Amino acid sequence: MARHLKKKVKVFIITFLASLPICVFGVFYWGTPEPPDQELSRARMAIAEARETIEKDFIPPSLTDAESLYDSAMFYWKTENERFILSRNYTKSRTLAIRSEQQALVSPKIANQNTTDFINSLERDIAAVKRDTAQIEQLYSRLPLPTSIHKKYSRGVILLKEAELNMEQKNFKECRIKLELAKSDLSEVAHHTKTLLDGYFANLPMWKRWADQTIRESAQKQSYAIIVDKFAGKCFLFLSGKLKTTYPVELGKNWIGDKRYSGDKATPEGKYKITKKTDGRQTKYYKALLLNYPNDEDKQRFHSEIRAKTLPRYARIGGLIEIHGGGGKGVNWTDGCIAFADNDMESLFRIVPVGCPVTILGSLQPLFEVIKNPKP
Amino acid sequence: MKMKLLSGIAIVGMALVFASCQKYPQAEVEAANAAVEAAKAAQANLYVASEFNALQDSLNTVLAAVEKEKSKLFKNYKDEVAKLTATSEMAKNVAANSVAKKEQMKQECTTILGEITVLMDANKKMLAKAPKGKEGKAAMEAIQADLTSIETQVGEVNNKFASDDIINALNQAKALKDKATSINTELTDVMAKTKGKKI
Repeated sequence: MARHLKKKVKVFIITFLASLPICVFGVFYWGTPEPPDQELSRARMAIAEARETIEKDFIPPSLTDAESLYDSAMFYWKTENERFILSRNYTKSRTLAIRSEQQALVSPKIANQNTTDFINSLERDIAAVKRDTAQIEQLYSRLPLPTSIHKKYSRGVILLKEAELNMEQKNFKECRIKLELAKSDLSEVAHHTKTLLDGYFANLPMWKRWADQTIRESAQKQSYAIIVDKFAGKCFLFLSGKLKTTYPVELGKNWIGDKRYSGDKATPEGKYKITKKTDGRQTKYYKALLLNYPNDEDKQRFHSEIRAKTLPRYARIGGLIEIHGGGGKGVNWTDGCIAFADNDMESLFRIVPVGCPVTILGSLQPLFEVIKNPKP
Repeated sequence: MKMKLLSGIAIVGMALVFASCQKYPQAEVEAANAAVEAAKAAQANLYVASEFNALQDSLNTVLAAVEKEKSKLFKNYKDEVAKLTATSEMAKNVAANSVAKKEQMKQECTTILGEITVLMDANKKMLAKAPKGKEGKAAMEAIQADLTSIETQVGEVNNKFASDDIINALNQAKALKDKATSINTELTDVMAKTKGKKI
């Protein structure tokens, strides 16, 4: 009897031990909470897709938030995983993952609008700066500008190139930085150039009057007359009021503005006459036509400046302004004379007599025309 | 017989309980994280950005897979360990690619700087040969200012290069080469004009 009881106890213990793991397994199997892997997977995919779509310079705060929320969701998942399996609660992690996905999904839309606007404005600005630079370049290469302005121009052009390279590489923010620096340098050059030219072209009505008078006199006297357009770098030869020939000319290095004193390397502006024709050993520059600079107006202006102390007392008015050969260099290089290529000088020298009127003026065209059609 | 069967079930049950305690692959996770950090330290996010993004994605995916496994009653990290090892390898490749790309850009920058030096030497030689008269001086003054500007900026490129700002150094070097080349062309033209006609 006792033996039978002992066997029953033994069977019970073994049955209990055998069913315990099954019960434990059942409790754990049905009691383990579902992990938030699906939500996190969707959030991760949304973030990856947004990262793929959005340019690196235009990542919106929503995507940064999405990444932070994803990291937090992972953190809470890990934290819960450290707890006893049956007491884990993934609700917080799941909620964060869902919010992360939502933030990631809206990011491309936000970024695309910003990116499109930014890139469009960059493209517009680059095109505008390039257009302005091309315009400055055509005028600028002929203007006597200080070295500091020249350096700014040079730096501006290099910065503009850097901006374009950054644009190609889709470094949009760096592109904007370089473009703004380029704009700053180039706009200073443009401002300096504009101020210089606006001031200079204020004399346009007077220049037109001089030109009309010269052409009228040529027509009335049936004689030759010369008009030098400094801005165009051209000399117009008239006979009996009609244009006969046009010659390219080179001027004084500081050719913008009237000549004020000896050594300023400016070509005078006014109505002059040829007083002497020299050639051979009489001139350094092939052949020359001496002008009556300074004329009465030049002298009057010079003395007014001395009196007004806008020129130093020791300043001299200068002289020996000629139309001479030795030109054709492609730059304005004289001390104030007007240089022709030797073959042009030869033909002019042969035609024009002593006493021929020579009118030197800034421009025959208004500034906007000059800017529109700059000299090639 | 019945006893033997019950004993067997008990042993299997215990074995299953113990099997659910497979070790978390801590070392592999740390190695993968460290490898990705090393790739970032190699500036992979700058030089091979798309590769780095892909790497970051695959790390996130595998870490989530590890965590998913950890959430289970019966854990088996075999696949995850393999993926973590693959991610570590991928990170090493990305880091190596970044270093190679950076090195290539450095090389390109050095080459361009060399070309600028050659152009600048040629430009200076042409300037030295320029006519000494006032016409030569007038033509060369502006060019001299450009050359000075380029030389100053070459210094800036070298500074960027030394401070490891290779992308910006390379872009500036390219822009400078462009300018130096245009000056070379301009100078050649001016020289041709001033040389051709002696006064």
